[in-house]
Amino acid sequence: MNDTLVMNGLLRRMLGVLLATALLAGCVVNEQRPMQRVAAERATTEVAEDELLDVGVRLFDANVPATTEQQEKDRVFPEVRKAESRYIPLVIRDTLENTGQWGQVRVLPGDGTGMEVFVDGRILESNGRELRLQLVVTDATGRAWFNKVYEGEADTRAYKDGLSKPHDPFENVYNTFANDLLTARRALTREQRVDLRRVAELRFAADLAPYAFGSYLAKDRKGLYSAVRLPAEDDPVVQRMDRVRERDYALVDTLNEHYASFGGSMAEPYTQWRKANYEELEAEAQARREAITRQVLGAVAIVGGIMAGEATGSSAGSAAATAAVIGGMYAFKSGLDRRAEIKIHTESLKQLGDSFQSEVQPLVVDVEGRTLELKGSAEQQYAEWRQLLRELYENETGLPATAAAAPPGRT
Amino acid sequence: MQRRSVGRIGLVVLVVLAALAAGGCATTSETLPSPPQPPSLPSPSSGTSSPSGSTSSSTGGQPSASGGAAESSSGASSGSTPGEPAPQRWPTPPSDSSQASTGQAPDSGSPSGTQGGQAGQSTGSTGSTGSAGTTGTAGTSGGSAGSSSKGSSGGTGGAGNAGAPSGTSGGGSGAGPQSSDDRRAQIDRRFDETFAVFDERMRKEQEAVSQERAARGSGSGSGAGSAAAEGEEAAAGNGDGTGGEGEGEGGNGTGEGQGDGAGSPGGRGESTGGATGTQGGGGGGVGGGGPLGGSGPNTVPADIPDGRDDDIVARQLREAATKETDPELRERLWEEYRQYKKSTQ
Repeated sequence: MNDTLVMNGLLRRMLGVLLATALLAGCVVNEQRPMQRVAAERATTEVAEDELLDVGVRLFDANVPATTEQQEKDRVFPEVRKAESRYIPLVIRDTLENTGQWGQVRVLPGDGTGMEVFVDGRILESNGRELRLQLVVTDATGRAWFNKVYEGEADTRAYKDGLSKPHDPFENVYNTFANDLLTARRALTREQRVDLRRVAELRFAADLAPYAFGSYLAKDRKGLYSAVRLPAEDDPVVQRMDRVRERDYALVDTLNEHYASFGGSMAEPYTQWRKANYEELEAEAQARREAITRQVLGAVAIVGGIMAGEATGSSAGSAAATAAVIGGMYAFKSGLDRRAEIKIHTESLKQLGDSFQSEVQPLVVDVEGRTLELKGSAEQQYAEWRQLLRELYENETGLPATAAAAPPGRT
Repeated sequence: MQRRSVGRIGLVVLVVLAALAAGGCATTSETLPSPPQPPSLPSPSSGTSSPSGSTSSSTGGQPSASGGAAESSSGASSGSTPGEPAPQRWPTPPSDSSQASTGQAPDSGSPSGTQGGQAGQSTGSTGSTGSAGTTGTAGTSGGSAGSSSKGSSGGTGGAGNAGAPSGTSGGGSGAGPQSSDDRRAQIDRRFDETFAVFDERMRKEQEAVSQERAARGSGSGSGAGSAAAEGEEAAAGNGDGTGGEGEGEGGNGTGEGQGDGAGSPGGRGESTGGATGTQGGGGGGVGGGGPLGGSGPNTVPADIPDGRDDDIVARQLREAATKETDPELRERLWEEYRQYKKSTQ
């Protein structure tokens, strides 16, 4: 009687375990609820002139691991990352532009200058399912605004075909950043903003003609620039400098045309890659979960069946124990099968990455080449303007244009 | 008898005198020094001007030191023939600002060599061959270098004269020391030239990219380019006294020059100087008088949309069309605009 009771209890437990195994194996698919969207704060009224700071988003650090092994381990495809390091700044630029809270927003080459606020970034993770970026914001005075890691899951609605207005699956990440940037700007006083614009202008001027403008800037111990005095508005060198700056903007705009063209070419295959990557990653994760669950529960069922078989004396109990062991073995085997499926998904992810990599590589090479060519010819032009500014300065002042004209410690 | 012997004696004396005279002359000619040859002297064998010599065109009469130097050498060679006793006429190359060479050079060269012969004659030497026609190439270098800031020399103009008439306009300038204002104007002109080149490069780049994107039918939007356009508009409207920029192609078909029209209040104009010969040099100057910013005919055809959705290329086409004064060209620009708009829709 006592044995029968024990057996019943064991059988119930085993049945429960088997049921749970089956349930877990079959019902891991969980339907995601629609993601809450974060909206970027848009300007509803005209923004004051002094608040319209120009923003330069520099091309990101692709953060590609040095060794091939590490790249494979982290699933980083170097060419894809390189492409993303150009593409993501474009998305940030568009996001900031659309808010209407800023002046000119431009993507800059890695060493780009001339703007008032700079955004630098590093891609920590980007695989279509998750995006993690480290974003650093500084301004022309050298002041650090913030340094944050932004991360987010993909909004799968962006991957659905037939959307009338496609949006980026990581829009929330970008919008959150845009709102943070706005908050940081609002933390500045009006004087700070005005000074920031002056310093940006003077730094550009000092870069081209340090002998003429170096003394207008001071740099403190923390490395922050400030304007110590201002050049006269009717200074001929200043007037020509302004015209050179217009050309600098034109150059940046032209570069942005190239970047935008690159972004346009990349957008569709990139979205397709991210979508396929997302599906594979999801399937892989699901297979992994199932494999673990089945293997664990299978092992539990086998162990439980063996223990129950030893404890029971009845034929019914023995049969139940045998069934539990067989069921456990089956569950464990199916877990192993799922592990094989993981490998298939992993291989599939690799193939997707390789395929997209070969597709995007020519685009990266093309935009890189054009950018270099344009920058190269612009460099020559800048050298000529530097020379002309030097001649003009010497003509106007009668002094030799040497960088030593700037007081020591100032740039 | 006496008369006869006196006559013989007289004859002998005459012969002796003649012999003496002849001997003295020969001695003199032997002792004449040969003229020094300039190191880069072109061969005086040709009496015709090189075609390239006609390319001289000037930028507002701003010549360059190199032009002066090159021309000076050539011009000198044109006046001399081998054995010609005119070494003192070799102009010395300018050391820095070659204003001094300016005046000499134009006189001594000629396209055909005729004036070279004249120059030789003026010094009392034989120089009648006009071999100096080789100076044509000097005209080229003088003209092409006209935009140099050193601006040294009417030598350029001289070069133009030597090589081809097209250098004439350049030859007129370059005399006297430069004042600070002159120098500033010169630097401004160079700024304008380089800006024009740069703007053109950027415009072409942007146009090429836009066309690529239009051809690809990509829907990716970009706000880029607006700043450039705004920048240009600002430059056009700010009344910058030296803002007039012009580009002119001068010369008689074998060369080109850039010229600045000084004093145009804003606006950037480009024109092509189709003039040949002596007018070639002035082509640049004509270019300088480009249309003023915003002052062009504002007659927009009825079928042209308001342009609110224009991209950078369309905006530039529209801007060019509204500023164009020539009705035929204007219509062609509007046609371009229409076609471009169609292609992007």
